[in-house]
Amino acid sequence: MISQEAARQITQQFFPYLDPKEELETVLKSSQVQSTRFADNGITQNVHIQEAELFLHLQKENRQAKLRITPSAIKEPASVLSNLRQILQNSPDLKITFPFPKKELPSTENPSGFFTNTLEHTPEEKASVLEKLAQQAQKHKNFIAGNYGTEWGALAYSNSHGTFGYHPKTVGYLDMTTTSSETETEGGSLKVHSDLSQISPDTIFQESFDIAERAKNAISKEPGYYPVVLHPKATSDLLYFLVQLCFRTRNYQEGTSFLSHKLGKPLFSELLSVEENADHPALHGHPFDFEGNLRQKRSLIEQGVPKEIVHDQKTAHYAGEFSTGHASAPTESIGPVPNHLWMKGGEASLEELIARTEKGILVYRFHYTNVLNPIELLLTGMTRAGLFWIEQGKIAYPLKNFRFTINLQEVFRHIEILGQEQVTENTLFKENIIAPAMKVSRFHFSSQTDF
Amino acid sequence: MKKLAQLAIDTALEKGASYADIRLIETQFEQFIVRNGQLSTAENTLSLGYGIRVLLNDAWGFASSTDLAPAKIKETALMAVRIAQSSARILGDRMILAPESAYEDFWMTPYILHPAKVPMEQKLDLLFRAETILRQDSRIKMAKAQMEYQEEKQHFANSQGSYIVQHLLRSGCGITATAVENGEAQTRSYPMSFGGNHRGGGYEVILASQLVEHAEKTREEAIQLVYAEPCPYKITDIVLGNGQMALQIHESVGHANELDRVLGWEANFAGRSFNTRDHLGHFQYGSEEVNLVADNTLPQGLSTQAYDDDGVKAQRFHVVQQGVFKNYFTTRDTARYIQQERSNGCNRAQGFAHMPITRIPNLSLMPGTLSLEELLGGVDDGIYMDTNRAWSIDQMRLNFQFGCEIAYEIKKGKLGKLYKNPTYQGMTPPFWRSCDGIANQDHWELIGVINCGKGQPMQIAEMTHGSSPARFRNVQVGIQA
Repeated sequence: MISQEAARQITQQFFPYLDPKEELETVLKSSQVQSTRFADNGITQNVHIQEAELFLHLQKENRQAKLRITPSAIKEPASVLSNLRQILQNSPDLKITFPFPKKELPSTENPSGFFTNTLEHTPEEKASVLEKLAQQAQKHKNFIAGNYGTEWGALAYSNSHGTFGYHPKTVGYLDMTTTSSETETEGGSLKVHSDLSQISPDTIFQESFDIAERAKNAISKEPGYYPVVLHPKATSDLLYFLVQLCFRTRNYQEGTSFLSHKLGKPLFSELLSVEENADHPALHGHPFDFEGNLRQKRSLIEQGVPKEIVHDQKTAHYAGEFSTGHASAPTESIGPVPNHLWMKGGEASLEELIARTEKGILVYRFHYTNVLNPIELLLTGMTRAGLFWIEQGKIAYPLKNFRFTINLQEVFRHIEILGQEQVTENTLFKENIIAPAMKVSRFHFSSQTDF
Repeated sequence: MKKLAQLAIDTALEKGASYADIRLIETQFEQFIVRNGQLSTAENTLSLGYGIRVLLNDAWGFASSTDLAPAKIKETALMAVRIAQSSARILGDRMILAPESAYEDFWMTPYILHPAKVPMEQKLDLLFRAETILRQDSRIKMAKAQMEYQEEKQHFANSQGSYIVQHLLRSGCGITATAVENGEAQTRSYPMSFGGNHRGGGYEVILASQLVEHAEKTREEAIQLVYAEPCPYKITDIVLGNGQMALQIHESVGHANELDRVLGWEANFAGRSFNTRDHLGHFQYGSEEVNLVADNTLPQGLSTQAYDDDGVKAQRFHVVQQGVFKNYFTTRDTARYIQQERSNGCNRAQGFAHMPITRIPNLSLMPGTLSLEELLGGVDDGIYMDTNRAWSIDQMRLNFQFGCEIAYEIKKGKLGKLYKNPTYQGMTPPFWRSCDGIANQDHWELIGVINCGKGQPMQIAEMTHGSSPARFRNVQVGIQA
């Protein structure tokens, strides 16, 4: 783990070598991952990964140069600067660059969202937990597969005007699939929390096991339009894509986003409100971005109306606004986008949503969701690990999985009821999302698969 | 480097490991993106680090670091041993390695002009010229030209005495234009979507792409697509162009035949495979026209290297031969599950920080015998599609739905009107069995995939798929209103 002092030393080692007209900002992104992957009731892959990347951004007279380097590859700070200056010399005149901030940034070794027990959780402890879960699975003639991990990550920002910020955080997770060896039905569950002690492996196992058991003897149903009850995990998947397709600011400003020219118009159900909130205790975002600006809360959608977008310095300048602290790493070319999502929920439990459904389908999660047409919000994907037919307010029988092809606006327009919120995770991008269960009156299942 | 590598291996062996290896990797990466008249990305990356893999009591442990101090290398090796010890407590499948000889060798990707030797000014000039042509119509709201190269200098050493140094170089470029009119947006890319086309090699790959020469056509196609009719919803015959064939091969053959996936090791995340081990040697995967060959010796292939990350020599083998399933992609720890005496060399990791896992190698559909005219001529009423835009497949690699950037009606063997938003769906074996024509080697092209994601933690790998256009019968196209 790289301490605050070590981060300061690494990020500030170049400043003594700068010319008076040069400005430099440096961002250190460091991480440590201990991840135990398991399948067939055994550990298949077990890794301890330490990574560190230093991003450097040099500016002088409307030209800029950027470099990303692992600290281990730095032989002499002066020689790194020399490389940057060569790049700067060959770079075009940008006509405008943005001064680096001169404000104070949060700098602490122990913010909320940092838990020593998560950081110190050992591979032996993980193996011990998994051993017990594997024994439980074997008793029931099931296999477990998944990923049990703990991560530490820190962001440190420095610039030649004296600004410095440092923010570490921890993440623990247990993501599990249980498969019946007799019927090959599967169930899944996962939990993500900064504090690993808040994750109950037994609960995760029981949830995934229950779904796998209930999924036995699945029946085929004709593809078509059906009311659905979506588990929070399924909702979060759709929410992630809704935000990516609507709120990538650069696309919005270029006119190639669904949301272009539509901010402020009622586009979705009045039940839909979504906030970008890195300060939420369950989301634990870094409080500043890669440009040294403080990350701000934004009301993305309020009662069905898209309200606010996020900015880095460049998009803010174009809009005549201020940066909201959403500059991503220079190596990520998508531009500013919200990634601490909180969709506001209601009071109903999942069971209550089911009880209030005359006929419909309960979906636990989606798999391989992808975009068929971004400007039309057209998505496709599969259901997975828990699909059930609901009749007269009760789960009647399990179903074979469907492919869905949906228009996201139509889905989020036809929300009937919102359930309670839950913290879940985009398993692809390791970002937490808070989303509720929801009942939607119309959802298109376009074809079926064999299982 | 060799001394540091030996230190890591000796440390692991002293602690009881039966096998250890280390990959020390220095990576140089450069990328330029010009977007809407501005240099939006100019990235230079230099990374250096190592990953140590240890086998103890038939269980793997892996640890990586960027700190090259000898004391830290020892510490990292000891962490890998500790991790292996904890893995050994609950072993489902024992990790027993297929034999492979030890090698001392050096290999590098052949190239003509190293991209680092080309002045930045020259690279930017090429991109700005191409991008300017793309923007010569006010309906184009996003115009982008990009190029990149990556060079990896790998040192691999293992406890069996191998010491292999490989310098892997890949380069690629592309242009993209998005036209917007009346709330409709359409994108057209050249030579491929999602960052362009990439090959093993140097700046000659960039020059051969001829971005400037293709910019006008790319722009005009994007604009025409805005006004085109949507792809109809029907069951029909389709011909897929090279670009889309690469994606078809990747998703419905590549991932389906990673043996670790078949064994269930990816069950939680990406899923498993319908192509179970009882299919080996006799399952009718496709029609007799279909020959799919894996080849990590392929010139300019993105996963071409002399040895994989197990230190196994690169090989060429059939995955599907005349439609019949023949071989999975294996590694030293999975080969025994199909009674293979030797791994076929498909173990790779992203950089130094990740543990190697089974990855799709270069995988190509062998050319057929038809000219393109004959291929299209065999379609009375159908659709030609190309350049991938979207992909989704179920966790057993069966039900898929893919989308392309552009399509044309085929009427009595000739290309006709333009269609926008083309999609098609199917189930993997019936789809490949419906293939009844493949164009010949005159139309065979290498398409590079640089964004193949797998594993937890996620890793990215690159590979190449060669293909000619191919014809498939009775396929569901379009989306029901």
